[in-house]
Amino acid sequence: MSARANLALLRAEVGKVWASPILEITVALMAVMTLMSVQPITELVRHSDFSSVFRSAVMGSVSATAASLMLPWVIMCGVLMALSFARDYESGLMQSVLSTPVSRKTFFTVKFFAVVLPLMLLSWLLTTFFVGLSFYSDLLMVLRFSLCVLPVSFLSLMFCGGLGVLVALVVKRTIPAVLTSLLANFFIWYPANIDTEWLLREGVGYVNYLCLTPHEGALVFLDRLLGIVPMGISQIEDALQFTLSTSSFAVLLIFYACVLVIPLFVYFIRRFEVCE
Amino acid sequence: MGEVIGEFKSVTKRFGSAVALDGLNLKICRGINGLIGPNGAGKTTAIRLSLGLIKPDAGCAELFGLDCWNNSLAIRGRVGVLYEKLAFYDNLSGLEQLRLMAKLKGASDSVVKLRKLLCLVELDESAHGRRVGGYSAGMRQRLGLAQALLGKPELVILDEPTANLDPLNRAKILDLVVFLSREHGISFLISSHILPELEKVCDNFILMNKGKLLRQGVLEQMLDKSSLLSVVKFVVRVQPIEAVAALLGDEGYVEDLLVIDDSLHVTVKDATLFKQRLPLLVGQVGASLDEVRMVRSDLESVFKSAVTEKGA
Ligand SMILES: Nc1ncnc2c1ncn2[C@@H]1O[C@H](COP(=O)(O)OP(=O)(O)OP(=O)(O)O)[C@@H](O)[C@H]1O
Ligand SMILES: [Mg+2]
Repeated sequence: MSARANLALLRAEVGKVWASPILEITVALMAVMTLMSVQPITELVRHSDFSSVFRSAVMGSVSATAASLMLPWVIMCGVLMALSFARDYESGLMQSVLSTPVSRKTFFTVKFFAVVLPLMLLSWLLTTFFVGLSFYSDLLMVLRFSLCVLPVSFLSLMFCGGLGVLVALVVKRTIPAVLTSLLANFFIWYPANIDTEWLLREGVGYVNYLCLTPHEGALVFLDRLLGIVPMGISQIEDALQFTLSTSSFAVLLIFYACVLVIPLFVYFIRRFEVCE
Repeated sequence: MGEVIGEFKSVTKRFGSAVALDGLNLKICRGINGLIGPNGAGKTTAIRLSLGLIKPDAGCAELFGLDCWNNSLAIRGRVGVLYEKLAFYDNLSGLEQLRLMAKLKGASDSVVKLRKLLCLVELDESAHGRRVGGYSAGMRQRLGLAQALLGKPELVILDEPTANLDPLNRAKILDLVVFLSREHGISFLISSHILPELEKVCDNFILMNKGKLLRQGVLEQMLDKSSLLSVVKFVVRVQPIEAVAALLGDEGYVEDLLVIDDSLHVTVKDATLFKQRLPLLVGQVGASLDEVRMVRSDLESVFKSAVTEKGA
């Protein structure tokens, strides 16, 4: 099939997935979540006479900002992916398109990226914008953040999207698939919201491993890319978050990005049956 | 029957405990094929299977000599299909939807040609630019039909193509099918429950029930094999008419005999025997046989009898 045809299919898919009011809801959700995490106090602290140690602790709130920003993109990715696959299956559109000479590879890839790419762009724009609001005086830092958040959000989105597809291909019914995907993605995101620093200092053992979960891992990786080591963590010598290298986190994220998507892709092109 | 372009060989397909196709054997021929059977017979499943959307549990299905599951991409390039469940990109206009499908099929996406195609399936010009989401059921069916005809397919599969159309438009669509088949050499496989319509247009019939083939062939073959032959009527034009009528009256398989104008209207219990005996009888009295025509070539009665037969 020609590139022109692929592009036409991508355009149609993006148009369908992001048709009003989905785009508006996503932007509003992201904006609300981000606004809640904008911390004007950050700027006050940075320009006052506090010690550099304290300042670096406040810098840590960049990733804290990203943590709550992450929730809408995680949820929307899971929901939209499940919606896109399950609704097309149920309505018979998948059957129609897969009866034209569109390969299953193309179809899967196009559907997947019709959700992931716009979300990545949105999350990138919005996070950069709102982090920029919090840290406006340090443009270099905002720029660095903006560059780093792109690959991190991409890898996280691959994982949430994979989860959404998995749910859709198993459940095959639109509403149940959407709800299941929403809950699954929320619970997998949840560890990213736990204050690991405090719990670690309290000696709660399992917390040490939370940084290996997909989204907390992504945030730690983001911190590492930005050169931030949260104060508290650096004092706990055996914290995995502290001892594991940046590249280990990169590998972990790439692993999560592929662990669902690749087997699902292979399953979809080799075995999946469209019987509705 | 024309050249065979597709074949199912002992195809079995189960969905959990439900058996949708049960060792189905059938042949799709060049020309217009009618696929008939009661609800749940497995018609739609057979259609999905032939486009590689589902994989047979056993047996194999082929179109144009290619395996339907392993070579589905090549097959899909040569087949157009209209499913009973119609689904489109509802946010696009009819013309945009058709244009997208044309691109996916590698067909010409010139707007002029696409508009022509939409007019061919009688989709009103004022609807071309409107959102498909706002189309009526009949309009969706027409758009689906236009989609199935895109890009010069060799075979067009239509699953209940006239279900949502009014009688006038049903006839128009069927005329179009006949025209495309005769003039452009496109073969059709049409699944429908409106048997009198199929009877008029189809060259070959495939009757199935509970995932199995019951009968297949041209209409006469179907009727011959039917146990319900008592209802078959023939019109015979023969000269001199009285002599032949007298002879036929003595034949045991003849149920009823009428002379209307210059032809004999014969109702027989056994069509095969009738067709064997008639030339002999005509020969006996030295008459000339001008025409033998089946009148009530009733697909519906074949359908009923075959489906209600024991073990069917
Ligand atoms: N996806 C599916 N899951 C479970 N069972 C299915 C599925 N698709 C078909 N079946 C079953 O397979 C059998 C054949 O169904 P199919 O849709 O092929 O029938 P059909 O001949 O097209 O009927 P109709 O004339 O009502 O359209 C039915 O018993 C149906 O319940
Ligand atoms: Mg059906």
